[in-house]
Amino acid sequence: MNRNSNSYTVIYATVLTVIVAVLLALAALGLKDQQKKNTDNEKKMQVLAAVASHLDRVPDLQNAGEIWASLNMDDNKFTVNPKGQVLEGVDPFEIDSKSQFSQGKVIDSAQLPVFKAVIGNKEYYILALYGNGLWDVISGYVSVEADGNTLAGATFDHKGETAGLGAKIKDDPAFAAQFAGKHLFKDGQFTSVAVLKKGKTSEGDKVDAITGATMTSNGVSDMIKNSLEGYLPFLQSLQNK
Amino acid sequence: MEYLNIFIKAAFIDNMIFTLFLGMCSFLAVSKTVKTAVGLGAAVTFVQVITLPVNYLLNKYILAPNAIVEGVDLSFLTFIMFIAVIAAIVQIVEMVVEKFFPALYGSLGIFLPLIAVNCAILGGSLFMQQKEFSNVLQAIVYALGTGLGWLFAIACVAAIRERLSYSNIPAPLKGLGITFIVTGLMAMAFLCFSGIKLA
Amino acid sequence: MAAEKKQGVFTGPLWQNNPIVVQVLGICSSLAVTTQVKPALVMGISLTVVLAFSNVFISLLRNTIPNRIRIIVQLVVVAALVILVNEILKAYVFEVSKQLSVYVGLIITNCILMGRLEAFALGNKPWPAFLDGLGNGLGYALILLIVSVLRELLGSGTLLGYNLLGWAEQYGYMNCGFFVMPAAALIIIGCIIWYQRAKNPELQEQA
Repeated sequence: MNRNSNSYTVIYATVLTVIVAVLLALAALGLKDQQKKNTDNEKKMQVLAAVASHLDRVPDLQNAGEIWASLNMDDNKFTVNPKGQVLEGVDPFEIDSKSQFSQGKVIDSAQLPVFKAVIGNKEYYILALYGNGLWDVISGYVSVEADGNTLAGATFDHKGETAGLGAKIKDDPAFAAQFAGKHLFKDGQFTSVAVLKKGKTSEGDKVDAITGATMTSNGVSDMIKNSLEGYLPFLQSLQNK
Repeated sequence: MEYLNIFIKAAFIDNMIFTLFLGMCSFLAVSKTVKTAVGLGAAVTFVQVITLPVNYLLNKYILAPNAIVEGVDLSFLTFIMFIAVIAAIVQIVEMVVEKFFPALYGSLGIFLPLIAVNCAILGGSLFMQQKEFSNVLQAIVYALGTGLGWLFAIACVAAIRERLSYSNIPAPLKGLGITFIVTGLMAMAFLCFSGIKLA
Repeated sequence: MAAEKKQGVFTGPLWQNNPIVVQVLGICSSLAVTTQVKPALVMGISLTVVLAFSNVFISLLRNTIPNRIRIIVQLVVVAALVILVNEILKAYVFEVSKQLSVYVGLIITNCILMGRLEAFALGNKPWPAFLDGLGNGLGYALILLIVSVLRELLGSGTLLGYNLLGWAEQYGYMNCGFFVMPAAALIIIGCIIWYQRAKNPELQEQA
């Protein structure tokens, strides 16, 4: 057999490709469930982080699924649209946040996830946030108490903010902890919660920005305002209950 | 403005060599003189600008979940597809350059085969996939930024190494050791770019 | 005699002929994963596995590979193994695989792989090739471990996530943020090279 002939080369390449493709496809199929479980757990952990201070343990990758199940989160989740109506047949867990936004604002046909957590005898509604930081996408969750006004906690994530500065929105628990107890409405008007430098004031409630990360802090501020604007009718319906 | 931002971030803040450590092997091997360093840097930029958009389209229309058929996720093939595309394009570029631009081939030619296994190229494509650019133009700008940033870095270090050959360095540090330390110091200088945003 | 030679194949790359500090291969992806010990360990093990097995496969195939597509065949074998490793990491050590992000994929273009495949596996039997891969992989892992221990301990005061230097803070000790930054990895490797070449003068460069 001539190892340098064209036909040998082509056959060799074909056989190799087929063997490799079959092997990889089998491996990918076999491990898919476990991987899906991991990404699901990660998402559950992020959602639960918004109410972490009300839980008896800190949600991490290992126990997130367990906490999720113990709170019956799967039975208490639903999807709303920007008019406050509940959408049937849409799994809030599978919603891709990115496609619900256009130029930083919630689109009219958006599907917005709501995760209701009942801890003790209190209800918390966990809402999804999505926006732009300094470099890349930032996201997060806030939990709102049953009055539709008071925040019970928040958690943030980012893709590429500056390490040690903007990245603190995720890495420094003190930043997210500031949000608990703040109010979204003042005298019935939506004021959101602003992220401002120490000393500055706004019409509504505010938290302190991260020193040296003004752009990321502004991004968080805008993200909360723009994302929650989509939830406004839903929040108002909670207040009128 | 958005494009300028992508460019600045790719070229300086996330500099391939100084913060991401990509393409270090050829970087260390070829940074002895400025002339060859610039040659390799130009070749890297060239290949980067061609392969990255191709991989972008490949990723968007074939590999992404639900891209070809609803419910089919081929993303596990990413690595093998990207490296195959890179190797194939490098081969084609080499042949085209040799045939039509002999002068260019004379200066870049010897570097082209090296580039297929340069981490900066595959790394650029993988980071591009992570960044989820919204159109192909952004991917091209990103490719240009990473390539020129690489060129800039290797040219700087080569210039320093040329001068170093006249200095009195402890024998065990000569060559490789001092290059590492110089690169480390350059990386510290590049830290000052982090946090820059235009407009 | 033969046994001695085999032993050299395995132990040589661990220190005397270390892939990173002597052969200057595979620096590309290794430095970015060394801010913490855990990802560095996983990376070292992953590379060792990929290197050992790709060495074996290429060595088994060495008499059948058409010369013209030699590099592509090597890339395909390596890429397939890396994909397998990546899928397994994603399934079983999800957290670490997120930290490693694209650097697992970059094992494909790690020069150690192409270097060892070309230099050793194409001309040797599977068993020595396996030992060669194992030795080189572990040599790589060793350097990664040294660098990452230094960086995590001095940079964040922890090892494998356990806080070791917290007690010193009351005496005014502060973690040195410099070690977390990319530049530190380069300088630490520079110093390892310095130390090693001072011990082994025959490795010193003339230039």
